[in-house]
Amino acid sequence: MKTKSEIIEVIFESIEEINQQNGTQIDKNPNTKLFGRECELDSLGLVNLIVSIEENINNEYNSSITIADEKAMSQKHSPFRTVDTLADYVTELLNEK
Amino acid sequence: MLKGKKIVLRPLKIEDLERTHEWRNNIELIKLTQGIRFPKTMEMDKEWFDIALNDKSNRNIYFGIDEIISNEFIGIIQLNNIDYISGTCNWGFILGEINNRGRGYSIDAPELLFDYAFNILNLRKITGYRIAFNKAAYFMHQSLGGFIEEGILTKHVYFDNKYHDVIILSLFKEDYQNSRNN
Repeated sequence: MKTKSEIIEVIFESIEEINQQNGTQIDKNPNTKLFGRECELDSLGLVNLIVSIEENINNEYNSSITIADEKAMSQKHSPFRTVDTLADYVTELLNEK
Repeated sequence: MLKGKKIVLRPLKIEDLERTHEWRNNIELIKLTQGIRFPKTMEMDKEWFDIALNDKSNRNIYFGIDEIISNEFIGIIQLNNIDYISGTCNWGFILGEINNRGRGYSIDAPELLFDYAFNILNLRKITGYRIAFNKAAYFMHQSLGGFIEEGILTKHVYFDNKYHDVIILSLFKEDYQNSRNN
């Protein structure tokens, strides 16, 4: 059973990687917005962040998940709004397995 | 010319032909933009350019996208099938060079186009299509805000040995303005 706080740490690790790669300064905070006009990430940046989270989940938990699949993208309330909502979604995905 | 933070939109010009020809034959771009999947010769693209550059109908508007910092042509954004009576149109967008993706242009360019469509042309509804698996397009629409999913064309396009859904997305003027004010 993975906890949300563990997943938030994995997301922070990926944010750090993306910040180093892109020279961005995305805040490692659960309330950080992941898309929108004020967000430093654009659409492809967010795709890269999601890929990084998938890789880090795989490395740390030996568990292969696809976060941004058609199920996630068809939800009325996007799970990608903030670090916190993304952590909820990823925790749910991992614990379903 | 429409000037954004990082890019400008300006009328498409004949000098854009060569680079556009490369993009229109790039199979990865074709998949994401639902382009024509047959090889396009330079002659075919020249003919397309002649039509687009001389189109006086005002029903189709093509902008070349130039990066401000380099003054380089990096993509095309367009309004098509404009209906001035109903106030509707379709839109499309291509960033041709992979190095230019992920730099924020996918917010800047559509916002300039939508401002133009709603505030200059007085249109009221813009419709577009996204292949269901296109994550970057999903995040772009989420970032822009205001879009509503009006429907799904189920198993509508074929490639890579599979049929894919296409999502119909629409943006009303008032929703766009509200999303910009929030």
